[in-house]
Amino acid sequence: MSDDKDMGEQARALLEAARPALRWSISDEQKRRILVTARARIVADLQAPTAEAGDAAVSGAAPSASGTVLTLKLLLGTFVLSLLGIGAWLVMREDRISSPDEQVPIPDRATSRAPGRQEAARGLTRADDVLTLRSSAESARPECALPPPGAQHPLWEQYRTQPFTHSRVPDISSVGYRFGERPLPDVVEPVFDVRAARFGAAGDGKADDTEAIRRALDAAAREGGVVLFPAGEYLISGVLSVHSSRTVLRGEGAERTKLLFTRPLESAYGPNIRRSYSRWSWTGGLLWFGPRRTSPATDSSRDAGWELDDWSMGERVVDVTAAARRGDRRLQVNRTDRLRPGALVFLEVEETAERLVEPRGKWLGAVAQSTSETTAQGLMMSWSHGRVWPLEIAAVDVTGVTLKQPLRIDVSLAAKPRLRAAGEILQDVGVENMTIVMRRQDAWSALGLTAPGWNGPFFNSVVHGFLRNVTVLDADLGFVATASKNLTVTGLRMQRLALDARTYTSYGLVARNDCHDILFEDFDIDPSYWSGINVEPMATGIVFSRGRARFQRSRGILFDAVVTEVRLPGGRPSDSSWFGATTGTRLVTWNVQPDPSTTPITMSPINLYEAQRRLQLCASP
Amino acid sequence: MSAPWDRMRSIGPAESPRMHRTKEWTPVQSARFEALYAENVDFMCRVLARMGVPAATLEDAAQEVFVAAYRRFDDFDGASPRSWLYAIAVRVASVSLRRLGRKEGRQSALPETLADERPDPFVIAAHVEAARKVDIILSALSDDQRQAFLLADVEGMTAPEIAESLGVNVNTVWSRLRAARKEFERLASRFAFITRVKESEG
Repeated sequence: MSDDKDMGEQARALLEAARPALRWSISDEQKRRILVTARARIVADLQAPTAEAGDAAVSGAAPSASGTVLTLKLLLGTFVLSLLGIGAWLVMREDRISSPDEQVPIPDRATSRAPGRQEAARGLTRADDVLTLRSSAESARPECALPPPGAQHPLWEQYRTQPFTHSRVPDISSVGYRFGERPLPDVVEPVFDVRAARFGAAGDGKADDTEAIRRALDAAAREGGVVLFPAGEYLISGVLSVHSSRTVLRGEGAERTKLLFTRPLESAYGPNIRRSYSRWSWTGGLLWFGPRRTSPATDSSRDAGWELDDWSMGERVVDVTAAARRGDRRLQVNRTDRLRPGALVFLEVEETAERLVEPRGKWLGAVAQSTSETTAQGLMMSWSHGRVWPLEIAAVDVTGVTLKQPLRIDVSLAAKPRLRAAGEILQDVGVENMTIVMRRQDAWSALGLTAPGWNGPFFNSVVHGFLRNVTVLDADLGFVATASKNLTVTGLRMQRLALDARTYTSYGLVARNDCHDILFEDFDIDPSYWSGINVEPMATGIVFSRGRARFQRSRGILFDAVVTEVRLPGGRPSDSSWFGATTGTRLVTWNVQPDPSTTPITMSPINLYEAQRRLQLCASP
Repeated sequence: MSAPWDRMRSIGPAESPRMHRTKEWTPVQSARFEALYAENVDFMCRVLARMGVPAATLEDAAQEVFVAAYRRFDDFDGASPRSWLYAIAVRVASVSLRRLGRKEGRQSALPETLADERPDPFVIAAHVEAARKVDIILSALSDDQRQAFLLADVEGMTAPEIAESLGVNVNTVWSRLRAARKEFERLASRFAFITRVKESEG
């Protein structure tokens, strides 16, 4: 209806200028989410009248819910078949988790070779394919689209010419699940419905469902799959541990599925005290993803001051035989017969703290701020945590390996560089579409780092994991990762409802030691979290994009971290200056605004992460 | 907890999803549904947000619309999917708002969060600024006028389509639209005037 002769030139110009913003659209991820859930409900509807009486009889669910719940469970698998003509399908098969004695593991065959439709279709009918992932057309990657040159911030213009070696802007184009190259997986089957008769969760908010859910997790541990929490409230009095890859905990929406935890880690697992601190203030979670060695259920050495910040490492080692620079994708090694494309390996180097604190430290290739005592101590402390870099191998030839991502550090031969095999690593694990509620009775302590551990999901030694559409209420820690890589956390909200309005020295989303390439996207963290988003020592490639939170950064060795398009309640970051000077580099805040703010965002491109993604897409064929 | 375990053997079919086939959800229907979805999901989200559905429940509401649309696919005459979906959205929004204890008819042209205003990282701030102005101007219009204006001049719907969406006469739509445009014109020039004065003062 362009017949707007009632309007003058001025009004029409204003409307034209406003139109792109008025006709906003939701993200691809949101579109995909809505479609998947709508489809599942439709299919469930269609099946409702034909659900077998026998199924209903053993479901144990309330009569009103049983139809939907059961059929949803039944048909999550079935609707795959009917949609075959539309989507492209990826079939992921059982990957072995290598023990340290085995060869360097291959994380995922599909990484190096995307199956064609025919192959995928064949996979669907084979009994031994235990897990089906869907790669939906609607969640395709953003398209290559670059702005006209000259209109952008000078730093961005510089970065474009040297994306992997710029001195101030880090390369964050390949962070997140599967390097951002693939959408988050929709694991379709098998489905382990915690309300199924053989598991027996009630989901009524009254009966304790801990054991029932653990039975479902055990069942899923054998071959992976979806542990489904149909709409309802699940009372949980213990820690839920996931030790298996390809295991996704799924609710039916943040408003429909609630996990109610009634005990913090301190009583559900046991105290974890170090000096006057509780380690639960910064690590561990009631939804615990990690190898068994850090399992609350099996670890008997938990009083020995165990740290959960480390990677699980293997034994096999090859030596790096030539120096390499930051930005390089190639490492020369003495033997390649043990290395395979797609494998995760660890680059180990023996650097000294003295070298690190040199002005313009050689190793970081940037300024370590001072040689003051506090800083040196900080560096030493950080250094003792980690000197390993997880790297994914893209290709292997006779003399060396090509890496999936460019190196973030210089590698000197003096540091005796070598590649070590990975130990037990979890992959393709996730939590989605649910609310996690802490039913706490204790008053929150305003004193720092003495929290009892009302902590949400915790990832340790996880590669390619995700959280999406999760709300965490009244928690100490919302989500924490240690020694993990390539995670995507999207649509995470944290609120305090039962607690008073004071500000607490607690963390919201934390990427702790030895975390790499983690994307936090579309988050909203209650401003009462003094440190709503946080990065800790020896973490690289940590990106916080589009969200609202207060933030803080640790002072330890820390580099290549970006906060972009984030709104900052209270107007300024939380201060960590008493820890000593920051000793990191390429710590970028790009379009961080006070909240509320009346000033429009002006720095262009608006979102550094998304701009880098697009730049990369334009560069690749 | 023992009872469900005892009955474990009897639930075979429930643990074998592939044993069950859908009866009606054919690939053709699925394709039709997906096409309808792909073309209209953004429009639907905008419409729902303008009706006052908060960002936190927007996805749920949009999902409701499309599930309801599927259930009533037979009622759809194929003329204008948008009008048809709009009518469904009105009902969904009303239920959703009642559940939240909110009043209907907030009808803001802009979504709640800044992030949603921007489909692309390179969209310049000028669009957002202009949209804010338009939003302020539209807030001075009556609900009926604003609705007609947004559907016609922002979403590009025709008068008959709007009439069908709202369940009113086409002439009614035209008269609302004329009034809305006139008021928009008046306030836009006033806005420009105020901006000029402020600039000269500043």
